[in-house]
Parts: sequence; structure tokens; C-alpha cells
Amino acid sequence: MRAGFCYTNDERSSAPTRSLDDDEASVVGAAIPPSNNNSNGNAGDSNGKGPRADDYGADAIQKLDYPENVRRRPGMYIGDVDDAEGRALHHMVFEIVDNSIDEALAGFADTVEVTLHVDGSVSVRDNGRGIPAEMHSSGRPTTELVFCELHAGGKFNQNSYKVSGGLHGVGAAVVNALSEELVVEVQRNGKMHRQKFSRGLVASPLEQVGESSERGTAVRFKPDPLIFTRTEFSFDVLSARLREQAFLNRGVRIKIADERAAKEHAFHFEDGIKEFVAHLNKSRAVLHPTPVTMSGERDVAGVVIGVDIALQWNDSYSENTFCFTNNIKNTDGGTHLAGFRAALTRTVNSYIQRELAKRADKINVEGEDMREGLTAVVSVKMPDPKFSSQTKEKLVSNDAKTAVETFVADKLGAWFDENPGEAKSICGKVIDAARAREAARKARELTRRKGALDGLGLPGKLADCQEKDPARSELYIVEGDSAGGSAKSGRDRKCQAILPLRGKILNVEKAREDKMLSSAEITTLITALGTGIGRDSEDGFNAQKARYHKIILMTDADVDGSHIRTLLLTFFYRQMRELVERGYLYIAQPPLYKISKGKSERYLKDEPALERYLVDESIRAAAVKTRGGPADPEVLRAACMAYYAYQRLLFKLRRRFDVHTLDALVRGARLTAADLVTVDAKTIEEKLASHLELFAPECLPVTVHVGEDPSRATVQALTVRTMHNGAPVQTKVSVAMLESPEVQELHRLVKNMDLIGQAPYSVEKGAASAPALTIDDLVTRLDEEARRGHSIQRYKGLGEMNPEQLWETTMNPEHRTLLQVKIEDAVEADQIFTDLMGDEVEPRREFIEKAAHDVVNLDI
Amino acid sequence: MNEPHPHPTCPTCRKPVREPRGPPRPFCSARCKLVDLQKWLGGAFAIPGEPSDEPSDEPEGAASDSERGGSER
Repeated sequence: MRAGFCYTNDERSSAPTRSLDDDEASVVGAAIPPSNNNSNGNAGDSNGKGPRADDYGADAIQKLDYPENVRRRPGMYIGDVDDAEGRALHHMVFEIVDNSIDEALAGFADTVEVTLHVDGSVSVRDNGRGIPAEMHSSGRPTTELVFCELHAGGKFNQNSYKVSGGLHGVGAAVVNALSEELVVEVQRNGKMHRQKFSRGLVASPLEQVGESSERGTAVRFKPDPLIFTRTEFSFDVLSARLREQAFLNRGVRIKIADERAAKEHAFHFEDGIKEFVAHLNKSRAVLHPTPVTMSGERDVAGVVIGVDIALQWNDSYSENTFCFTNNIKNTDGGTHLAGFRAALTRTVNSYIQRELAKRADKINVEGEDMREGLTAVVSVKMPDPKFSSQTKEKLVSNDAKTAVETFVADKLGAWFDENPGEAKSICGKVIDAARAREAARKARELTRRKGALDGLGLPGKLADCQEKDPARSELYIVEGDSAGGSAKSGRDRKCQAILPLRGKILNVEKAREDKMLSSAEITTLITALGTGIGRDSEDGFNAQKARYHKIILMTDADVDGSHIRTLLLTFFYRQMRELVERGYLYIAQPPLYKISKGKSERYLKDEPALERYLVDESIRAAAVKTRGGPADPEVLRAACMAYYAYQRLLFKLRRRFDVHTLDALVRGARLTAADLVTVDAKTIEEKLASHLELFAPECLPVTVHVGEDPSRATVQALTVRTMHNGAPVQTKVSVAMLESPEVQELHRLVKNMDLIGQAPYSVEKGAASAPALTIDDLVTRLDEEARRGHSIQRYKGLGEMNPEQLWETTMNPEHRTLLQVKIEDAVEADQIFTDLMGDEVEPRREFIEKAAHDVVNLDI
Repeated sequence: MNEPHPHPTCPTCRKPVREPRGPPRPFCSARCKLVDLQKWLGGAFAIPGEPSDEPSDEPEGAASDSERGGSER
């Protein structure tokens, strides 16, 4: 054991500590912790392990001590030499490469070549200035200083190298000490010099070996198998890191060749880290085509810090940010990362707030939401960076935070301003990230507090049933509190549970009332069902935990009711789909009409049912005569039903056609597609006119023009002009229109109406006879006849029924009709829902102004 | 009208669903399902109603905004 000088592994302490006198220099071996470092002598005395070294002179000590100190504790300099992945081994190469890159950074080299040789050695060559090959003032050649002394190098002042990754000057000497053999060749000033070392010791003096017109440094070394468990270099590991260096140092050509396997890679990126980010995102769908790049300098208290940043969002959910200080990767980030994140959060947040204002829901966006799917490279170049450890995993220089934060805040804000489209899609992604995070939290919460069977934790609004077996339990989800009240009193409390739900009304700018289910209503529903919510899993949504196997939606038969039903169906379809697939979901069929005659009461579920009832009643009460004699009651019934169906279909088509014109075309002119081959405008015009004269004289006059059908050569198209509310309207009649299923259906219904026989008709009741010129008149007369003596009540809502009526008509399992919801029904509801709404306020408002009225009234 | 789409799209992201029979159906991913859930829980889903009877005589702006905000929670 030889005595040596002290060194420290702490960069923050005052640089390389060289002992000044023998006493202090006599401490051997043990690294002195930074806290003990103020007094080397004391520290050495107190630890007391090392032998005293008074016998030796300073020069001798120095020579003998290096490379022993490195070889005895290589882990302190290069990392774990027994690491199976060979991290320390590869780090040897990077130490040398970093020197070449520094030369490139300083502007003196543009090419670095790494070659793996068959004998297990590796060489690193650059075309820089070359290590000075002169004698140093210390009396030794500079190559020896560089390769045989720790803390010797050209980077302590900032004259030769403004910034550099290696600062502590141990790199080359450490590599040398841990190499079985190391050869350095310098080409400089027209000459080539060479020196050889072995295990850190000079093996041959620096000598000139020839002339050279080139310049640069080449270092070839073979890692010492006495030190390293593994000595075989991995091409892929080296290649990946060298590519990274090529990205970080735009323009520098970096090559790696493997002579063992005849493999070669060459890296050269003119766009630097912009290409780095694009490379990282290459297998991802990106949110904006080109990465955002920011490159410049910031002067922080006299220190110029270069900041180079590229970033791009992709559609994934993870963040991928790489940080570098002077080209050294900082796996734990540090102050530059903190500055980057702070600026990113601040900048994106101001855009998010603007974007959120357009959304219907409010959500708290956090920094992590903004970084979801973010790929970024943050590279700073600064003199004298401070790291938290020798391995430089974390940058601690505060100036870096200031520089990066102010720089990014400026540049990123400007980019968002200049790229509103990209900014919008990024904001959309960030908002979704916040939503997913928030939903996952709420889902966990909801699933944890799901209702216990003893009724604890169930929502107060729920009137549960006594039955505990889900297969025999029913849940009625009832629209409105008053109907909920009736349902609660009217139900069979043994197996029927009631949950009243209220659609919440949103006043949208006072112009319109939107319907929604509030957060509380949805939460209540989830809790009552007991299934949990979220992912399909034990701790998320689980259909097996459903507390009811019949879930019955009971809503009013009006527009609001259909909205609530659409909302609920969509919710079940999207978030509890398995309940629909299992056939648990039903729709109640409350009656729309109550008919009383004397003491008898009758409930009818919809319009067609009422029509059928009235037709039956009228036929029982009166007889009908046609021109050809008495009408057969069965034929009369069929004709009347056809008439109602015809009118209903016409009404549905009112947005597409002028209804009176369409009626005249079908019933008056009996126009079919075949007629369009040879059509005479005059004839059609007369037929239309005489029909309209009778049924809608306000639509006259009518004119017909025959023209070409642009889509068919052999047939013609008509343009029919009539009046509507005093203004002229045009109806285009083409083969396509006449062959449409709706018009075909109208023709079919007309044939059924014709069966009754020819007008005029008369309605005979007893001795009285009332004439009817048309079938319209006839149906009106019969309707009046049927209604006589009846009181017909149209329920506007469930609330108009008392508990007994509700039970009898809608809830009593003996009499009720339930519609089981099939997955297709839910798909359709989802489609209607999707068409009706979006999560942005503006498009929805435009939508309603255009079309909502149509859809809303469709099912009445 | 009610036949299921041969190529269903995710209700959240509107991209085609690659595995229509996968557990997050009808969504493309568990994540999109969560985003949808938050819209339900956060009150983002509302069906546009009919224009209300009273004419909107107030200019659009702060008053209506605050009303809308107030009804959120």
C-alpha cells in the first residue's frame, strides 16, 4: 500500500484537492466524505486506518499512487465494474467519446469515430485539434498528464472549452488505469505522435512516429479483465448512446463500426434534438406534425446558459422527457427539468383555461395532465454545472432552473399563439387526461362505498324493496319527484324499489333549456345499482353485483321524458353495457290516454291505440254508406286505419316535402315512377288542381313543369309550384323521390283507403244521415261519433296518475307491458345522443339552432 | 337504422374501435371510457332543449355565464 494524495468525490467541494505537504498527503485510500473534507489532515488522523507515509517524497508518492488508487476503487470513478450489463465498461468508452464531443462543441471537430476491434479493444478517433504533444511545464509530456493524472485537463478554466461534460478531469486517466493497454495517437502540426500505457503506467514514452497532414486524437484501449467481470462491448449499447450524442450535437458526424461483426452505424442530424424527439415518437401517433423547438441563451447573473428544447405530444398516456447537461444525460432530471415543467404548466394552463371555458364541464387540470403523452428533450449547456452526485444523475444548479423557466415561458407561449390548431388539440388531450384522472378517482370512491345489503350506504332517495335476491328484485327509475312519490305509494314494496331521478335544466343563455343528469343523480344511480363503476373489474364495474335484475326506466311520454330516457339509455350503454347485454334493462309503458265511458275506464298506450279504439267505437255506433251501397265494417276499419297511418306518415315527411303537394301527387294524381317516362304536364296539373281544390284550396294555383332528370336519361322530372302560407313553394318530383320507401308506403296506404268504395259517403245512425264528400270528411264524422259519450284524457306526465292508476297500468306485473332494451336500442339511443350533443357548448348551440326541433318532435 | 355499425367508432375519441368486442366496448380503450364517465359525473352531457318561450332580450355575456356556472354545482 502506497500513500497518496487526497481526492474527493464531491464536485461541490473546492475542486481537486491536492495536498500541500507530506503530512496531509499521507492519507491513503478511503474516500473522505464531503462533510469531513474541510480538514484533510484531521480527517485522515481521525479515521486512522491508513499507514503513515512519512518515508516517501512527494514525487514518488504521486507516481506510485496513480493508478493504484483508481484500480483499487474503480467503482468510485466509473461505477460498478462487476455489473452484468457492463455499465461501467461502456462508460469507459463514453469518457473518451465525451472528450471528442467537447472538442466538437468547441468547434474544432466535426467527426467522431468509434471502432470495436476483434481483439476486444475499442478506439475513439476525432478530427479535433489533438492533445498538445509538447512537454508540459511540469517536465512531463501533456499526454501523460492527461492520461496518468487525475484532475488534469483543459477544462478547469473556460478558455479552451467553454462548456463541457467532463469537468473533473478524471475521465482519460481513469480509463487508462483500468485498461490492460491504452495507446494514444495525436496528429497535430503535421506530425503524428504516439504513446503507450499499460494499466495506467507509461509503457513507452511519447514519440513522434511519422508525418501527418491530418489532425486529431485517437485513443485505443482494451479494458483490463483483472478489473472488469465483463469485458465484451455491446454494439447496441454504444450505438444507442452515440446516436443520442449525435442528436444532442447537431451537425457532428458520429460513426460506430464493429469489426467483430462487420456492423456500422453513422449518425448525423442537422436538426439535432428536433430529430431526436421525432425519433422517439416515430411509432406513435402525434398530435401535431412537427416538434416544437426552442433554442437560445439566457444570461442568469452573468452566466450564459444555452437552452435547447424540443417537444411534441403523442397520443399515448406516458411522459417521456430526457434531460441533458452539457450532453450528459441526467436520469433524475434536476433544476432544468423543474424549470421546464414549471414553465410548461404555467403556459399550457393559460390556454387550458380559455379552452375549458368552451366546455360544459369544469375540471381541475394539473401539471401531470399536461405532460401525458409528452415527449421532450431538455438540453442545457452551461459552465460549471453542479450535480447531486458523481454520476451526474441530477442537476442542482439553480441558475439552470431560472434560465429554462423564463426561456420556455416566452417561447412556448409564442408557439401556442402562432399555432392555434395545434394548441387546441393539445388542450383537448390535456383536458381528457384530467378527466380520466378525475374519473378514476371518483370511480374508486364510488366502488368502495357501494351499497351494502343491509341498506347502509344506499342513497336516501332510494326506496328499496324487501327482497334481497337480485333475480327477484326490480328497480324503477322514475322521472320526477312527484311521479316518484306515486310510484312509491303504488308499488309492491316486497320486490319493487323506486329511485326518483330528475333531469336537471340548464338555462343556456336564457335562450334554451338543456336537459342533463346532474353529477349527484348519476352518483345516486350507480350507488343504488351496487355495481360500482369504471373499468370492468372487481374494483370497478361488475355486473354480477347488480342489486336488481330488472331495471325499469319509467319516464313521461313527452319530449323531456324522451330526453331523460335517451340520456339514461346512453349512460347504461356506455358505462354499464353488460347490464344491457344481460337483458336487465327495460322501459315501462305508461299509458298516454285514459278513456272513460260511464263507469268504465280504459288506458291506451299511444296514438295508434287510441285511433284503433275510436274506429272500433264508431263502427259499432254507426253505419257507412258509399256510392255503391253499405260499407263492410271490416273494410271500413282497415280503410280508417290506413287513413290515420297515411296522415301520420305525411306529417313525418313535412320537413322534406310540402305536405299538400305530396298528398295531391299521391292521392290526386296517383303519380308513380313509371308515369315519369311519358308524362304530360297539363294532365298532371289538372289532377293536382282538382285534388287541391277539394282538400287544400289555399295551395292553389298549381303549375307543373316537365324537365330533364339530370341523373336519368330516359325519364323526366317535374317541378311543381304551389302556394304555402301565401308564399310560392317548389316541389321537385323525380324517380328517386317516387321510388323512396316512404312514398311507396303512401301509395300502399291509399290502396287500402280505396277499398272502402267511392265517394260520396254518408254516416247513418238510426234515422239520421250525415253526408261526407271525401274520406277525410268521413273519418272526421266517425271520429266525432266515437268520441260522443267518452271522456278522453291525455296524460302529460306520470305525475297525473294517482298511485293506484300507476300501479294498475304500468307497474303491476300482471297487467303491465315492459319493453326489454336490446343492445341495438341502446346503440340507437347513443347515436341520437351523439347527434344531439357534444361536449363543447358552441357546436351544440349551432346544432340546436339548425335542427334540434326536427329530432325532438320525431317520436310524437 | 338500428343495425349496429360495421365499423363502430369510439364515443369519446371518434376513432374506429379495433376490438369491438373488447371489455371497454363501445369504447376503444379503458381510458376513453373514463373520459366519458367524467363527462357524466362532471355534467358535460346535456341534451339541447327547445328554445324557451321568452325571447332572449338580454345581451349574451356575464349575466348568463354566471347563471350557467351557478347551476353547475
